[in-house]
Amino acid sequence: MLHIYTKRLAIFLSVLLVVVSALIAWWRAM
Amino acid sequence: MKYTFVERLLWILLFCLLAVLPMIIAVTGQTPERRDFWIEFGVMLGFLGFAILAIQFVLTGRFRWFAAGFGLDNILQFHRQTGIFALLLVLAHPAILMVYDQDFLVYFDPRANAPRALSLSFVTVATVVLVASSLWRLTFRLSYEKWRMIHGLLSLAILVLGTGHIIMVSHYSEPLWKQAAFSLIAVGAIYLLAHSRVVRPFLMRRRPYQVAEVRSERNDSWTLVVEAKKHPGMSHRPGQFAWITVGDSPFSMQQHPFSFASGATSPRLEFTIKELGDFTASVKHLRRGDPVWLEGPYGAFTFKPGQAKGAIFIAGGVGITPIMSMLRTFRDQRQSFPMTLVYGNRNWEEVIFREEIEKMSESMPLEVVHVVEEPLDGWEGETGLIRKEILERHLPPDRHDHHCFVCGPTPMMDVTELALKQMGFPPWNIYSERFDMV
Repeated sequence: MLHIYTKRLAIFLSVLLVVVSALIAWWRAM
Repeated sequence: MKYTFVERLLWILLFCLLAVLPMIIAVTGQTPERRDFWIEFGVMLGFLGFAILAIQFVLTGRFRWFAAGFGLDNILQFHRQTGIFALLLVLAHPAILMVYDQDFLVYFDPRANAPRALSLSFVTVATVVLVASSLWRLTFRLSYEKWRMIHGLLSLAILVLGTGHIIMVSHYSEPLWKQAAFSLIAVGAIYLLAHSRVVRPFLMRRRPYQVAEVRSERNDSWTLVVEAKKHPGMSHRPGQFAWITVGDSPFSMQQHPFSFASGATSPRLEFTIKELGDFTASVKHLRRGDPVWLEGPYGAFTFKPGQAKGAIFIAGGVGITPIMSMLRTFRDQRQSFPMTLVYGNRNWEEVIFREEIEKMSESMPLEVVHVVEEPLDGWEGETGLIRKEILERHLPPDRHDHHCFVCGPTPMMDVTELALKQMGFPPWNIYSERFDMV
């Protein structure tokens, strides 16, 4: 796999996981 | 072996599941009273940071069942990026809480609770040091060995104190089963570290190697030939690499990755190493019989004849080593698929394995294109650095049915990978090997 794709994958997953954390936090705060 | 698309997807899914596991444990079963969104968000980022830190122990453990399909350089690149992400989470966790509610400042107040304040301050500072010392190791003038020791010890301390913090805060870890679950995650990660730093070297003691020969090559490079001592040795696929430790003990921090230069069919293992640092400069001083320890083989930078119509190799300087292993193997196996080698060097005198490559091109279907940065008078071949125009000129017309292997210095790799992408090569057919990650 090209290096750049690994970097992009890591950034994409990081953003995704922050969104999931925010959703869980929102659900807990409801 | 390279993972299929579905296998890769499953590993990525597993990564996501492990990353959210502490959050799931926290909000499962008996949970405390609701709090405002920003407080919950800050806390969840803390749990996510803990998980991402724990996952780093899997990424860096060189586990063959995991590393074989991705390639070490991809895994280390992923480790680097997610390590930075973990640092941002470790910083964002207290920052969000303290900005939203200044009462959280008490967690850093040693007068309120000295062990809690000191451990939290340590974790925060240590994570910054951990990431900064990795990103700018050379700026801090840290040797690889010192950095590796600091990296291991700091990450261990951060994980242990981080687990202690979750249990001590106790907001989401009141029931005993939750405390046990968080501790288990930390224990699992510590076991992985102990396995790679203690158990594996211990097992390596049963399989010693010794120096058989050190041969001088062009371009300040040396070929280290090693042989197994009273055991069958190591079989590898061409293009793979091993971690080498030189000295009486395999527990040394001096462990460096080098590609096999020898073919997979060769009874002796050869590594061609260019003098670039303290360790590589010491290779020439090794003598026959000196003890050597090998950990491996690793790497997904391999080509199995038949998996594509042909192979394209693009090498820069000593990056020829893993490619040489492939070429030697395919020569010995009398393979007949088309191969193209684009090989960049500073000048003609520095072209490692020049004579052997010329001979190979006469006996096997190998097209060789030398690219020389500083050509001598009368040079008629390609000049300058490897770039898109050169690749356009020399790669075969049916190039998209070939697999492409790139190994060399970082700037050359960046230019080549981009050029191949622009030329329409599917990314999954491009294999690259970068060793400057360690």
